[in-house]
Formats: sequence, structure tokens, C-alpha cells
Amino acid sequence: MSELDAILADIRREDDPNRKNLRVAEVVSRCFREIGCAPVVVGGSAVEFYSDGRYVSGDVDLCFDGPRLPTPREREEIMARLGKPLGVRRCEVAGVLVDLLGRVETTARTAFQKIGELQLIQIEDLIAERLLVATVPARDETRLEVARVLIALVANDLIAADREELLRVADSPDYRVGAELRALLAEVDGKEGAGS
Amino acid sequence: MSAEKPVRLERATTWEEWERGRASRRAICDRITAGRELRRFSGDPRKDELLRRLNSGGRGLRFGPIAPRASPE
Repeated sequence: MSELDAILADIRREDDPNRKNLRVAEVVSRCFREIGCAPVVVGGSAVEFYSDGRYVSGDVDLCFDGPRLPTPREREEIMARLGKPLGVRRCEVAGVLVDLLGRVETTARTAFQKIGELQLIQIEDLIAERLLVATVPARDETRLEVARVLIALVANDLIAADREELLRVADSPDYRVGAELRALLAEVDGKEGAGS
Repeated sequence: MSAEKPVRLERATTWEEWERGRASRRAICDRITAGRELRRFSGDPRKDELLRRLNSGGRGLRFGPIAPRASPE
């Protein structure tokens, strides 16, 4: 059994869905790093990494940072080594759905979050993105709760974040969710003050 | 309540630190959501169907208790 097969077999046995998804992201990222690409976990799988508790995206979305994007052939060959292709850019790896997207979009100027060698979208950008999808086209309280959780984690200093950069990203023309962010920060800070 | 100091997730962290901070982060999540699960949103019915199939082994997308640590290596 190759080292890669052994890792995949171990991941298949993983019974914590959160950890399993991250380990799949790690092994897929590693294979793309070997050809000079820089994968970044984005979207719901990144929320899962940060929130750790109440959100499981069930899949892994990967974008690429930097000038080197995998060619379609490289992409397909790597995914065939790792699992079962389910269509262009989509594959099942150790029971987890993996989507390979294009170049990463981020407005934040902070460094990507890293866990070992695994890269994830910055918390500052992720919060702004979640606020955007929770308020456009209309306010959605259920979606807003995802943003609220991420903001609470930052407010409680459980995630390293640059607050100034968070406000700048939220206020930027890319997102324009600064008012929503400030309201949620005040709400979360108020709750913490009242609860302590 | 645990007297353990909450573990902050630094910008560059290790798997071990990520594991050590899980309970702290989960406690905050639970406080905000009152223990409810957050729903996922793909907006893509085909993707949702694939996910339903992949997660149809009984566990689905639900959270259970944190499982014992397995080596990421």
C-alpha cells in the first residue's frame, strides 16, 4: 500500500465529520502543492474549520492562490489518484465531496489561515462573505447565524483576527456589509458583557 | 465550567493546537446557537443531492460528540 493509500484509508475510518473534511482538504492540498500550486480552503468548509461546532459543510471547496493554476489535465490526474471523479472539477475523496474551483478571491490583506501546511481563507474575508450572502438579496436570519458565530469567535479572542482589517473588508465596495458587521459586533459584545 | 484557559487559534497553527481549541470554540458556537446546528447552503441542488448520497450512512451532516483524536499523519 502506498503512503497516499494509507492516508486515505485512515481518513475513511475517521468518524468525526469535521476532522475528516479537513484531513481530506489536507491530502488534496498536499498533492497540488507537489506540482507547485497553492490551494486554499474556502466557503463552507472554511466556516467549518473556524466554527468547529455547529456547521458541517459536508464538502471541501478549494481555490488556488498565486500564479500557478493546475491545468485541467493535472487536476484530473491528481483527483483520479485520490478518489473517484464525479464530473469536471468534482471528485469524491475518502467519502468526501471535493470541488476544485479557480483562483481564490479575497479582499483581506492579512495572511491566509494555516493549520500545518493547509491554507484557509482569512477569517476577515470569510465573515464579510457570510454577511453578504446573509443579507443579499434579502436578510436571512438563518444564514446570519453563521456570521454571528464567526464574529462571536473573534470577539471572544478565540480566533486570531485583525479587527481593523475586518472592518475595512466589510466596508469595502467588494462587500459593503460594514453596518451589519458593526451591529453584530455590538450585539455579541453586549451579550458577553451581560453574561460575564 | 472548565477552568482551562481558552485556546486561541493563531494565524498559523498546528493540528494539535486546532484540536486543543475545539472545545472552547464549540462552547462559543453553542452559546450563540443555543445548541442548534447551523444549516449548510450550497444553492446547488445537484451538489446537495451528491452530499445526501455521500452522507447517507446514517450520520448525515449532523454533528455528534467530538470523537477521540486520530492522528492526522
